[in-house]
Amino acid sequence: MNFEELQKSWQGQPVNVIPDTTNLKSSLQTRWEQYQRKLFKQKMYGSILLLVTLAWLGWVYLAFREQFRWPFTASIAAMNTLILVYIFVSWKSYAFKKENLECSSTGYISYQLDKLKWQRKTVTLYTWVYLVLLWLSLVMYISEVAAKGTVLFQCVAVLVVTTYVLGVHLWYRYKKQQKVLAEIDEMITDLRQIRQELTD
Amino acid sequence: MLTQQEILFNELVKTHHASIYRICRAYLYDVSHADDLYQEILFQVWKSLQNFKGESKVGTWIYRIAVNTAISFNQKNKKHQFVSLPDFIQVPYEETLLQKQEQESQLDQLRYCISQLETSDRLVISLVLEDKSYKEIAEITGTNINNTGVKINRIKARLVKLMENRKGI
Repeated sequence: MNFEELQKSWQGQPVNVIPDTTNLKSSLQTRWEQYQRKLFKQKMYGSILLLVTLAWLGWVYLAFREQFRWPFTASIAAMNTLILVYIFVSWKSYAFKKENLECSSTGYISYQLDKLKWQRKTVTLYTWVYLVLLWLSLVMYISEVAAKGTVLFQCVAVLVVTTYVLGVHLWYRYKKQQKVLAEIDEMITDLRQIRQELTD
Repeated sequence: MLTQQEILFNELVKTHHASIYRICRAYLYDVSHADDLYQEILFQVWKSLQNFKGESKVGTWIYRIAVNTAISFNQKNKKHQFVSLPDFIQVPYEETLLQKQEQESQLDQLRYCISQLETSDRLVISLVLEDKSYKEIAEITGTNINNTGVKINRIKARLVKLMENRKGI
């Protein structure tokens, strides 16, 4: 047995696909539109929710700004900035979603690895940064709003906010993050292995 | 009236559909998963057509999309990884089949042996089986042509050996 025989046999195999491009095109077009619509809807719902929060924070600021000092303004500005950055990043990924499929395989794998590393960093580091900034903003807000209350009340308010943020963080870390990181790490290992095998 | 993109897509599908399908069959042993991958590749070709700038040959471009989509498809569908079937299922009919069935049996043996190769080797051998030159394969995979040559010879030898071992069972 030699390789040429195998090759001949391989190329002679029946191909069970019909190149009917008319039907194919319309189904691909439909799928493409569905894919775009789904992505657009996801971003839209998320953004609407965040914009409502933004508007609500704006209303809180306009309604109560006379009663409080600068920490009130600073905390609301910080929360609004976090929301706007989140919306911007979210739409940026929609508008500039690149897949680089036309690159060579090693180039494509390197690109995918960079994306996965970015995702890993987002999950591990940037979520932390986001939560710490959110916590700081909330603590600043609560301290200012509850400034006229007793020390105990202020402490309890800060404790409630801290417990809430910490609770969200711990839930995310142990329920979701481990799973997400395990998936990302597995993909990174696989892609590295394929790249290594291709270049060896 | 067809757009430029549609005309190019029609031509690409007509010219390359069989090769793309065979690449899918080489990469994924299970025919239904290979069909899914084939659809996914055509979808990615359709999506990528608007960005095609003609910097590489159309053939190289489409094979790059096929191979890269296969890599991603495998990542997203770990469960599609081939699970080896018992030998009595793999080699069932040799004594009784007619010539045509023997050819199909041999093809199935070949698919099985390809599925025993490493992921990257399956991709490379699928291109070799499509008669792509070392240079084209190096361009598609983004590797050094000399390494590609050495690698291809190693995979070919391993595939022939696997086939001979299967015959011996």
